[in-house]
Amino acid sequence: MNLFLAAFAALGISSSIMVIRANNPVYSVLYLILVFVNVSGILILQGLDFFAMIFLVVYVGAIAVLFLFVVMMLNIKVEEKQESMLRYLPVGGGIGLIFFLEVVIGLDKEFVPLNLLSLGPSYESEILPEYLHWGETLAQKTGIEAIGQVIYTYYFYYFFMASFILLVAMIGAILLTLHNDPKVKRQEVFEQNAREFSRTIQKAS
Amino acid sequence: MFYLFESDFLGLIPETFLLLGLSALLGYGVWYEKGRESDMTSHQLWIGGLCLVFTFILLCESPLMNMILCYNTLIIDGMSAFLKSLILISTLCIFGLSFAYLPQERIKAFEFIILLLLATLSLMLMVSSYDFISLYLAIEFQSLGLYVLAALKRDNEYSTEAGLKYFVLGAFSSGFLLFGASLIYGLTGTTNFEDLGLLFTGVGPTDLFTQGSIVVGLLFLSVAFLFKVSAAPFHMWSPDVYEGAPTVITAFFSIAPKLALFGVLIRVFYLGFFDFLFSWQQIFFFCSLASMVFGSFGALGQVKIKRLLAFSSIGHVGYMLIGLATGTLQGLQGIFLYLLVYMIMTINAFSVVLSLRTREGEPKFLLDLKNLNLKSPILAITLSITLFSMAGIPPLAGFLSKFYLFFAALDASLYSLAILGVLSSVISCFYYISLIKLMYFHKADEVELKPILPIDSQKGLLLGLSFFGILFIFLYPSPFFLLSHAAALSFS
Amino acid sequence: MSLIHSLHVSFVVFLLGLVGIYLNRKNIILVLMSIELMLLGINLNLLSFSVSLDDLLGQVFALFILTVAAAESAIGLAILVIYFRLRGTIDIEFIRLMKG
Repeated sequence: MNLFLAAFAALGISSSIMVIRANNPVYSVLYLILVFVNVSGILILQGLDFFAMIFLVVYVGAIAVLFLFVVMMLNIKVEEKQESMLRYLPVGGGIGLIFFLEVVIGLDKEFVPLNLLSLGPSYESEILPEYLHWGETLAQKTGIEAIGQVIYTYYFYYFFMASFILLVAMIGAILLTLHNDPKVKRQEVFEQNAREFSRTIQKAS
Repeated sequence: MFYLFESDFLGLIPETFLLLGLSALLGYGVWYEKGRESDMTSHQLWIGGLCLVFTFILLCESPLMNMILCYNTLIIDGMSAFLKSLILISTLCIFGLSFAYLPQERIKAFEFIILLLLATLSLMLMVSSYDFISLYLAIEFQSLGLYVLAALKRDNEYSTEAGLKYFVLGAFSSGFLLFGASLIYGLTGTTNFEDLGLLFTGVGPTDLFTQGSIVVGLLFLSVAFLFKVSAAPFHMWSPDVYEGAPTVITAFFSIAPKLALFGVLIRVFYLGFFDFLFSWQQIFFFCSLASMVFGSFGALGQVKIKRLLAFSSIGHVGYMLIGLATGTLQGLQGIFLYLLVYMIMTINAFSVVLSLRTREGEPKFLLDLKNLNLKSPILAITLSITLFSMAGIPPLAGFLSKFYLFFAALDASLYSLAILGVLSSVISCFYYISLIKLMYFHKADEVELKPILPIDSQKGLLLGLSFFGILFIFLYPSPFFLLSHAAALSFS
Repeated sequence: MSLIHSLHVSFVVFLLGLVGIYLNRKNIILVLMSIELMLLGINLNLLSFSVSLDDLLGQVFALFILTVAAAESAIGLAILVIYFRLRGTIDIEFIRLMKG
């Protein structure tokens, strides 16, 4: 398990470095897809099967594909110059490193696992902390069932808000990009159906 | 199951009405637009305005004063009622300003009104939010609508660039907000503000070992909010976005999200993290100083009107952050009073800017203000009084609010903030007076003065009402004092 | 044991997203991809915390962040498309119309 976690983590981090460093934006999108897949792998190791699949469906299947469409549609030139980011790397990288160390060192002591008591049968004991084992004596719900029990009942407000957000995104995307080109010929079906024959042809003299 | 959350919808009646109203407007716009394109925006503006008036009435007459809704995700209290009514009034004023603006700029999309109403709905829900998840969802809801509105004029390069910059900075700050919220969640196990406040009781101001990790999360949260409210040193995006966006949208940006975000800031920091006062007080102290300084010095070199207004709004945010940094109820009352007065002043300022339209287009540069006294003396005097009020000259409304805030700061022993506030008021006075000199005392060249187009009745009404407010609040401020005090008392 | 490791991964992914926005000298679509990386890091963060705390709220939060990320990327790409239609390029150097 640790090996898988290490593998997915290493691949994920190196892919995300390549996202920002790749010259060709199509490569960046493909590396982004690789990051998403690796993070899904980490989630499966944690036991969150629903989220792993949802990440694949939504992130890879919708968002990354959308990015790929847009990258293909816009005529993005492949950058030749390589050295422009390296100038900022010492300062930016240093700040990033300090930031990372501060967050990690500041928080490292908080997450000490309590593996002193062993209350139940040792079953995936390296992934879950030991104090979770009592939950398996009760009826076990799958991930998706547990979430469904909560978001449609107690947290229905979040569900409504998510739907409003999607409404705004839809209105906004259509408002911004819909292009009613007057040169494009269209058919107005209702007008065509409402035409009366007796009025369409008239004698001219 | 049906009876479990019945009272939740009773508490959300104003928001539900607004939602149903805007859905009806959306349906009307979509199905009846053919053949009525030229009138559709004004129809929607009138009906949308009516919708807002009814929502305001529902809000004021609501019998539910203090309630926690939807399983601890929303709260209704005095502050939320106050801020929601301010938000509704400000959106109504923005609608009033857009009656003339939309036809003049040839914006035919009725979705403008729908998006503004959706943004208002989200701001109302943001003010009521009681949990990090509902807060984030409301912030994103508002932000998405406003990204689209900032980029609305698709054939104008400034507008699309403004939309892009606003999008990048907004998403970036939402990322910070989420990171802070996720850290707080991981360290405490809850995202509800009240639970966090209860959990942190007695943590103690000097116990850095226990406090250290929460402070990291708090730092991210406060940076995110300061980005969104455009306080210095995170203010870089706002002059560009304010300049590029359509002017009524800039007016909306300056007023309504700041109202809601200050409500959110107060709820997060006074309710959720009050025990960490000595940590976040320093952050807001520093940012308040920086905002006041940047707001006044940054505006000195500006040549465009909307950028000047953006820098002056950064300065105002700096003053409001003084009230936030105090940690007392007096500071809160000062913030609410300042928000009220700021709303009136900003509406007046933007109404004047929108009234200065000539046949060629709207004014972009400060030099377009020159000789306003000859073109329209009433507009000139309105603008000068508003600028004096923004600077904080005594018998005007701005002075009252600043006075109150500085007193609150002195009471909380934040002496340097009060002193620096006064100094930056003096510096901002300098550039306001240079504007007034431009309007009155500029040498009238022999080049013909471009006459300004006549103002429509809605803008005139707004100008008159806000001017009246600025002049005479000082004579009878007690209703505003009572309102803001009632709002602040919800945190006692 | 693995909580800290997945937290490290999520922090690094978030950081790389942050770095991608700041040190970006190429084009704007990289900025949008870095925003997605940031949100991905946050999601992983929340999900790891949810597993370790045995609490469902983190998973609910992550689900809604996912939804919002999708909507936001749609709007971001729409704004990018209209910007491109007007300017013909999405290089960072040309976003200089308004100084600052």
